[in-house]
Amino acid sequence: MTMRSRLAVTISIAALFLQTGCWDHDELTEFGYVQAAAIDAAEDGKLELTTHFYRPSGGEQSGESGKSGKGGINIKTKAKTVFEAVRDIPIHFGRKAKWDHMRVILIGEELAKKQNIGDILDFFSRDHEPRDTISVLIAKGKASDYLDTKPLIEHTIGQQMLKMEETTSTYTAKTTHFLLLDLAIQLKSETNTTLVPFMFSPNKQKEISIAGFAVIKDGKMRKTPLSPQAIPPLLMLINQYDQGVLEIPCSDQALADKGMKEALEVKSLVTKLKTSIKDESVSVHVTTKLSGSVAELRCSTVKTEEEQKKLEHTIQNQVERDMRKTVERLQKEQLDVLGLGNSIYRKHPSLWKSWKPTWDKRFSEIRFDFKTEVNVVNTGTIVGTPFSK
Amino acid sequence: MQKQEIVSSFQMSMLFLAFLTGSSIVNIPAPLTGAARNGAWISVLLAAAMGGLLLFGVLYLHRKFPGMTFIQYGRQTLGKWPMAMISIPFLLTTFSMFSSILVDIGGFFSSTMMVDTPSFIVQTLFIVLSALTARAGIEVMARMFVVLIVLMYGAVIVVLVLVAPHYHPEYLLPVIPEGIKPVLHGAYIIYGFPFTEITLISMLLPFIRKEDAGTTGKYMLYAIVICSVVLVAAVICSIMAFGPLSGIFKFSVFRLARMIQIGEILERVESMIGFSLIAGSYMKATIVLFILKTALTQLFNLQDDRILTYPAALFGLLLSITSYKNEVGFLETSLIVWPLLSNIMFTVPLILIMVVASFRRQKPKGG
Repeated sequence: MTMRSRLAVTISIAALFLQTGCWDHDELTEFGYVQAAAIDAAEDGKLELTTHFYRPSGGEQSGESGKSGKGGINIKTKAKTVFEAVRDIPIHFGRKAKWDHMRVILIGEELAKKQNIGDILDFFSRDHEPRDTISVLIAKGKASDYLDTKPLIEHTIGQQMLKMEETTSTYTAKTTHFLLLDLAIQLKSETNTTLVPFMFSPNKQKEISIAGFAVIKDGKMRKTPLSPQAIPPLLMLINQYDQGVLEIPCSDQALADKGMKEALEVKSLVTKLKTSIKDESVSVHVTTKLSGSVAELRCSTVKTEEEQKKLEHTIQNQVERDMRKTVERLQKEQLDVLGLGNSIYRKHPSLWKSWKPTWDKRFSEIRFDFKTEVNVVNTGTIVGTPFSK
Repeated sequence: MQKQEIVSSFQMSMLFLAFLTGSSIVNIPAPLTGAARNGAWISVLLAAAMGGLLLFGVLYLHRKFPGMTFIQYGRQTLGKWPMAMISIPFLLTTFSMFSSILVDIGGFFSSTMMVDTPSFIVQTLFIVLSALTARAGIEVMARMFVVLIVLMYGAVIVVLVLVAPHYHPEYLLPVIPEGIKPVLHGAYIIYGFPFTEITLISMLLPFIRKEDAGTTGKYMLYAIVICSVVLVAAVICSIMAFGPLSGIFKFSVFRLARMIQIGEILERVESMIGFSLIAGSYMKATIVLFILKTALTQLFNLQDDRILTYPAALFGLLLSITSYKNEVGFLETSLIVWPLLSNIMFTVPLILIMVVASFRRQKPKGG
């Protein structure tokens, strides 16, 4: 080898080692990994940020006091802006927060009602560490309290909440898997109305439940969240219903009056909203295709075509009634969470421009009609007679 | 030139593709959708059509003056001094473009992946790499860039496919709610970057092997088509994923990559994607540097065609460090001033030479 090529090889090898990193270096142990963050309103317009960190040594220390959850550490900081609160974390914690692995953001009810939610979330969208796929939840009462809850099966409460939201939305249809990105898009949408999953605690933070929605309109939360019972038909209407359960009253009137119900497992549900505009009036045709299987029978027998038809008819009535009720409530409160305004904007942008200022009122006057197709595919692993008969 | 380097027309079209897609795939979708909103894909098509016209101009001159570069046939048609007068702003603009590519690279790293690394470190490493590659010659570049292009396009396609669960096709409507004006604005931006820069490729065409003259035009046109298809795809996909936010997020494709989450297996892959994307900027910087040193060599009639590579690279680096104080200033310059500047400095001379050349009937021999 000549001198020249030896030099080239040396430089190349040196480059191989020197160029693999950044300018400086950071060790894993210099950071605290954020799993969840809760933002609440504090005194004189400040924000209270509670950051839940993953405790690297894991779940062995679960015997600790109830203050910090299993394998987690909560740090509270207060400031006027989110970023100032974030940069105050080392004062209490001794490590810099790393946001890449964050699971959920919780927003306290009071803050959500008081301040534009976009102001609160600007930082999480702008900073280079958090992802657009973080879940956003609105918490009843103080959001930070929920981070003190012990996770039931997951290692950290952040992961626990994420999983609860995900599985509830897939199997139970009582909330949606709602991302920071979805929220950001909805805040920029024409109707500026959106549904954020709602978290509450039936027994003072010992347990948490994620079901139902907080309604955000023009960046702020409406007074009352939608209750979990109102959610399945709403999810059907916005075509976010994945799988779920339908309780149907017994076809036998006497038993139905006693409150006896049967259950259907909904396997798939597709809804289409077709908006038609005639002059000044809007009407919406809701077509729903539902298919599922019988999950529990108490009074009906499903053995003949006729009985099958009857059952399907009952289901159809039930679904349509529930959806109509939900629509009526939304119309009464003038909340276009169905995205009808957005869809009018998409198809008739110039018409929308003139309608936008009065849309809430127009929405409350829309005429809805429903068409539902029900298909009960099978009766499970036993024939179509109730076990009790 | 001691030994004439040659590449095939296919390789040249690959260089051209790298030159067009290069830094634009990372940087252009966001400001473009910011200006043209949902009509951004129409802007791409309009600008690409204009780019196609420019390419026809370049190819026309290439056919008329085989084996000659822009500087050489400019000198032949317009005369020595007029062409020198045109060449100086032409070269300065190219230097400015070269430094912008470096600023883009620095900006990308400092706002996404390597926030604490000073931009000039990133830029210096890139420029060293570019200078070494450009000095190695066009044959080496052509061979190497084919691999990098495959990598870059592969990364883009992987991202666009894997983010599919987040797509909402309804976000694509309405296409032009505000009329045609925003679309034209978008077209202005993307025409300035990268399509007006097509004129520069005329500095490279003489390196094509003589036997390949027949297929040159066809392959080059394919490159424009492929580039606009991928830009349209990037724009459409980012609109489908981000809806009204697509003009707000910088580096759309990278932002999309951050959303990839296939179960718990495939997530957080954006750094790989980011580096594949930035390889495009490296290729473009290298090609521009090569063009610069070729132009300088011919302008000053130098014997050694490689001697100016390093000085040109250093000059570009210094320009990129000193030109812009902050991102806003840079964006304003590259989105508002640049399309106008590049049109005056690149396109006007091209048209001038074309007009003069078409009046001079006799076909000059050799080159």
